[in-house]
Amino acid sequence: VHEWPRKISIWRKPRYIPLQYRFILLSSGLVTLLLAIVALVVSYQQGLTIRDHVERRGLAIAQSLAATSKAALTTYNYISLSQSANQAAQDPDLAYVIIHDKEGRVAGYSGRPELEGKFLTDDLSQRAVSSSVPLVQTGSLETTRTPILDIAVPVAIQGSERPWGVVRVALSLGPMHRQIRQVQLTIGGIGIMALALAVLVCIWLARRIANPVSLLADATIIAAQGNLDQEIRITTGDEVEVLADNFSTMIREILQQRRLLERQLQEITSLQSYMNKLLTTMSDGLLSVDMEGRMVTANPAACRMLDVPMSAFECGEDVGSALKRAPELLEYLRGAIESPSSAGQREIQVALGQEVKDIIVASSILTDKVNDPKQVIINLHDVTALKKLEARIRQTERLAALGTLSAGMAHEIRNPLSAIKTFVQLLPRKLEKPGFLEKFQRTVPRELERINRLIEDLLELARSPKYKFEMTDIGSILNQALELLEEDLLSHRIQCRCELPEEMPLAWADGDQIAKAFHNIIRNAVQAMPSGGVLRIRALIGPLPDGLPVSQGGAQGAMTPWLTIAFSDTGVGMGPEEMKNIFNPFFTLKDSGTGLGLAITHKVITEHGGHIEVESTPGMGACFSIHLPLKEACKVDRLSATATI
Amino acid sequence: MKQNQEPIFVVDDDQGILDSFDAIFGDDYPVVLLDSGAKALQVITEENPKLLFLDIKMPGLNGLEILRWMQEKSFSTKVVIVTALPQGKYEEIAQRYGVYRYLKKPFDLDEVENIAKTVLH
Repeated sequence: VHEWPRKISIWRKPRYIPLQYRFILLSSGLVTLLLAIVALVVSYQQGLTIRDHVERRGLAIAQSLAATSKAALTTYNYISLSQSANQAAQDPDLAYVIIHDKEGRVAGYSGRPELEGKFLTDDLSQRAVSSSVPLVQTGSLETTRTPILDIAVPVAIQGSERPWGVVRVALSLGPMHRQIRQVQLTIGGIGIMALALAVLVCIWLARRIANPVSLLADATIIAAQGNLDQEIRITTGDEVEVLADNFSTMIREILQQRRLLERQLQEITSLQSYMNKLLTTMSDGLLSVDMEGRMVTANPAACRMLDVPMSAFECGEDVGSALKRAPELLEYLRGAIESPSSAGQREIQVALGQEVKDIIVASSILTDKVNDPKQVIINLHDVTALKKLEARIRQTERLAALGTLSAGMAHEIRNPLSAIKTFVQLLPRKLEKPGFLEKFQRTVPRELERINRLIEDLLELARSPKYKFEMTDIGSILNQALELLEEDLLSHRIQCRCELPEEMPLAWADGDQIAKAFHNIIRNAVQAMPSGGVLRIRALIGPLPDGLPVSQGGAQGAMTPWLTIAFSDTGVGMGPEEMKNIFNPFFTLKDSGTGLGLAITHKVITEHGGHIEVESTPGMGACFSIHLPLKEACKVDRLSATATI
Repeated sequence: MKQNQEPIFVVDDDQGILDSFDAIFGDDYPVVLLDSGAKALQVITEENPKLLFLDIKMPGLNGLEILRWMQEKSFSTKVVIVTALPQGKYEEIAQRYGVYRYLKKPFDLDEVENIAKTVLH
């Protein structure tokens, strides 16, 4: 806080007088005063000296006259005394010469013989006559009023106590005064010249000192007016230069700061306009509401989305009235205000007349410096169109899947149908031909059975899950499936290596369905190895491998142990494209079969809450892995559970 | 009569279809039944058949690949595609590869017999 200007203003508001003039005035005044004192003292001293000189002269004249008049006084020789007086008075500086006798009568008076023998009654004469020591008095001539110096010297005679008379000499002071005035004039003239010189020196000095300061002052005035872009060059080699340098540095820094500020301001402004543009043009709606539930801002998209005029969202409006048509949004908003951190993303519906909009709302919190929530910002993303599109895509996908299924089905039906049709058409013609009937009886029922099996498989695939779940011994089911296919395995020269734990766990499963799944996988492996090979079956218990989701069917947590059964063959294998489609209906790589076996297997395993995966390299065989959730921890050795496939 | 006839070749992975062609032509022509594309390639190279009934969807080599291969090798064989696939696009592809006829399963007995007569007589 700058205290100093206030102090001064309370006392007295100083007038603005440039430093230069102040300095000149002050120093000139001082010099004048000094010179005046000097002149006065000198002229006084001179006056004293001159007066003293006049006095001495008068005294000398009077004393010499007294000495010469001694004899005449003792004898009262008035004529001689009168002559002596007149003679002495011939000096032009003497106004008069008076000689008094012992009694005080006038013995001689220069130029005034009529006064001889009389007593003079004026004060001057009285004091002069009565004095026994030389007396100097000032006075003036009665006639001309000229100032005079009256010097009276008593004439002492040896042996007599009283003086024998008084000799008075009056010196005219006119010349002395003239001399004194002359001296004063001389001193005055010299003084004025000295004063003029001194003032000139003062002005020069004042300029010398004040100029840089006033330059600096001008620079500060310009700077104060806002022009900071200036260079101040003062090279006086004193404090003013230091001041100027520092001032330069300061305004440079201020200038830099100002430019920085201007730049930042510009950035802020452009950012603000960018933000405004963004808010206006963005397709997502944005609402901000303070913690008391009053509107702060809303962008046009939000108004469009909620079909509310912009005026309803004016700053300070109550949210409850602004959003009365969107109760779900209001409820979300209130939740977000109450517990800002817990409001996540939610999908809500807003009914606007006939139309219902699906909007995803999300919120974020604007906090102040001390991290207290200030505003809730609500983002509205209209997904109505997206949802419609999704529905259309789903419909299209369903139709496409149906198309694939129908095409597969057509293919699978038309082959046996062709055979049946051919044999039926040939029947009347070739009935008599030897061997035809055998062929007919072998082929037609077989092809009919194919069609029937296809339909059954299709029904199986489309069937809604109807399982008889119980604690099932998966190990024995696997063994049964292998027994059923033993002949196939033998005829294809396939060696089966079964590596199961000693005690297989019980799983919550439908035994018949699981048996069907195993059957399909093993048969698939057999057909993948037409010229023999090795089928390796391994089982182990452990956690679910990474990347597989815990499906809802089994409702098992991540900690539940899983039974994994892996079937690896040394058959023809398959490529990535085939692996992708291997579980799709009617996708088949084999000579026989409907292409529904693995699709059904997939369905069964999935409906048990499990997973089925396939890994393969063309020519290197394939490995199908089934993961089934176990209801409870089993008795199997934990060591095998940690082993990897 | 059968000994003097040109043989008819049939390639199809479906046993029912092979049996059908055997039943249709077995009494009048020598019939060579082949149940995979790989076997077909070998036999075609050796025998240079005059008439070949060819299925499209087979494991391994499919019918269209064989047809293209035959066109590239400039076989004079009349190839009749017999397929259960419903999609029309395969017919276009087959035409491009110089198919003789394109039949859809279930095919008509008379049509097949006429083709054989036309090509082999």
